[in-house]
Amino acid sequence: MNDLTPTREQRTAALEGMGCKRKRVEDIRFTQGKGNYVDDVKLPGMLHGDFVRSPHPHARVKKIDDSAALKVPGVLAVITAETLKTVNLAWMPTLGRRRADGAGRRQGAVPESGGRLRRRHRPLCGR
Amino acid sequence: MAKTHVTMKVNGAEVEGLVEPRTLLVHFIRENLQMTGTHIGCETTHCGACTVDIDGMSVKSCTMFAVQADGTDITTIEGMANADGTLSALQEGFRMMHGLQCGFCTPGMIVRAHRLLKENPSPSEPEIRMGISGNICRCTGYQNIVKAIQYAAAKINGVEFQEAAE
Repeated sequence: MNDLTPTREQRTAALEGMGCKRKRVEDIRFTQGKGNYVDDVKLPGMLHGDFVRSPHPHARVKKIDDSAALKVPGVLAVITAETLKTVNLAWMPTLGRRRADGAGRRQGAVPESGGRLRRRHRPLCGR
Repeated sequence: MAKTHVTMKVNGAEVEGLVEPRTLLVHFIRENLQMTGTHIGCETTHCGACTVDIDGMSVKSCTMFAVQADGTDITTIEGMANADGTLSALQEGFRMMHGLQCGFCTPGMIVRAHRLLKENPSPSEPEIRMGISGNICRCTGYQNIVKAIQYAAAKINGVEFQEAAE
């Protein structure tokens, strides 16, 4: 704990009863733009991913064509249910296999370096 | 893609960078300048989390290209504290009045409220609500944000803050 932590005596003296104001420690960071939200985190070698979702509420997945997406510089891979099979993770219901059973069902994941690419190239994963 | 050289003043410091013409100002601030206090909430001008102050105007920086900001003077949330590093009246107001919970909208709220109080040093409650209508907060229900801005206005004007009865 840091030195800002009040002692038991200080806490008792500051008690004002129900509904009294509490000064939050984190507000000092948050009001100065010093919070560290997920999008603010940068790690060495970090990749960005994006999910391609089904545009149809109910449909059969015949194939997922990732060739155009893979041609874009910076795109490292397109991960689909087929990819999961190769690492024995096909049991995971994370990526749609045969059916698109809800609009927005995840059909594939595209990890790449440089986050800005992701939205721009999402439509390239045809199906 | 061809890159364009831009220079601007951000929080008093001259900065420059090479950007693609399609780079949004908020991406330039967050990624090139590594100042992550300015947040991206919606990237479609609805939420106001990316609000910065440009040449005396509140601007949603996801709606402006970095090349459009070439030569301008920008203030972000990182430039809102007092010169001695203490919290400004607005930052203090948000803390004292519990004007934030998760804090994601707070940088945009404070930057916008800063300009609002320059435009209108003693805004009424409806004027405050109208003034920050471009900024969305999903935690507070705005009540405490309005109080935070009233607190800051009173402090800047040197009068005692009277919290309205609930």
